[in-house]
Amino acid sequence: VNHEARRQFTDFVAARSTALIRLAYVLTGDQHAAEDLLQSALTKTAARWRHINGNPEAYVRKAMYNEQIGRWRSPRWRRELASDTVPEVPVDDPSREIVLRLALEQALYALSPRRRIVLVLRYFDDLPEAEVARIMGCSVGTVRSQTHRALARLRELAPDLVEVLEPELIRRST
Amino acid sequence: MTGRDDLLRDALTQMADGAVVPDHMGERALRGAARRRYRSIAGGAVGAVVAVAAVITVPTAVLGHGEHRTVADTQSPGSFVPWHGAIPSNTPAELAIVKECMVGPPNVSKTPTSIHSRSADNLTGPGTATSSFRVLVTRRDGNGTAVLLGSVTAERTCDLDRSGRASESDRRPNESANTWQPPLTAPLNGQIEVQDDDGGVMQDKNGPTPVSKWTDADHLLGRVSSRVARLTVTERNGVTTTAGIDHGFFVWRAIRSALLNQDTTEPITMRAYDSTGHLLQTYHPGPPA
Repeated sequence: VNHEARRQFTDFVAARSTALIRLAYVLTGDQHAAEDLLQSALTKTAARWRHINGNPEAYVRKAMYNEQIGRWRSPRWRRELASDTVPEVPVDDPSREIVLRLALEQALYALSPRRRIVLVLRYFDDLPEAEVARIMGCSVGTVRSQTHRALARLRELAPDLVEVLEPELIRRST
Repeated sequence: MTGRDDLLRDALTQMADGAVVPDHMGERALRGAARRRYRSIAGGAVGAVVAVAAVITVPTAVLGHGEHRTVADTQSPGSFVPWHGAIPSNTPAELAIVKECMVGPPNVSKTPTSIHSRSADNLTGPGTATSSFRVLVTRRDGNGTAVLLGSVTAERTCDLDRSGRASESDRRPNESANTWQPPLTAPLNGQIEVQDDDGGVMQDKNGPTPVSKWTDADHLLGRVSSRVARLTVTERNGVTTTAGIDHGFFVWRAIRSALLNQDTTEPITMRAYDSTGHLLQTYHPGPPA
């Protein structure tokens, strides 16, 4: 990598590191894991820098998604899941919205990385289903079903979230 | 946007707020990338891993050039077919390898390029579909098989474990392929042409598998002239292994154990021989800049 390319790469990282570490953090739910994930993606990006066409940030993001999906496939990763259940949310808590949000955060961490990635792509990156499908290498229908299952799993993990996760369901039942 | 969407977005955003931006990530990534390339052309104990696990090195004789002869070295060129400028057809078995290695069409980057002139999307057209890729050459070792896949446009390596299963990184959907560089239409300059030879070994994979336990595989790949019947790669510690040669292409790999992973900056040497054992060329893959 020549001097000019090095400068451009470091400029790119300096400009986008905040957004990238935030994405890594929501993908992993842990600062150290996020740094590892981002560092790995940036190292791959640096190695391929002069071959990258288009937006290098898209390359880094895709590298992170792929690596995180790969970790999900690894038996080692499954052992690292911190929690499988989320504490109940007190019904009459005066700061219910905050509690619900905290419960949702915990539930998101408890999702499998693949399901979390679908939700991150859909709701954090605001990507359309077709783009999510392209990144994850699956069909739009699979994205929809994964999203549905992820939300269903959130409902299982945090039953009190039902009313906000499924407003139509609540409306129909009342 | 529904209330559910808002809640999820807010929750994810608040999760992201917990992230702390690390310092010097760019510099560390550059060092890491350079270290990977240096490692790729390394010798040291890593070579011993290759020797034990990959080619079952049995020093039985010393060649005129001071190399240890290996079992693989003693094999005849076998199916070596001189390069005539065409991509070979796949046999059914080779077609199965392509399908095992490629999940969806690869993303093929346009080259030569620089970040000054990026023009958006990946390359499309001839030589970019999965069906365009052929098994050009394979190289078996104790950990499985290294495969060089190629079309008229692009190339990609693939690592199969001993059961024939491709590594996880190879199985990633639309795993990228690299355009030939130099292109296949360019005449060979010398006996050995290493693809993308500005960083030593340009291919690397992360692919732990339940079978082989290895985590990194580094590759040398490219073309050789029709005179080349045997191609050896000598690492700094003197361990010599052979590259696979077929159809005028070659592929060589080193498996790196996570436990024995080490950094070194020592160069490697490639030697091309003709069918009579005469040394045609000695070549050192280019060091990283």
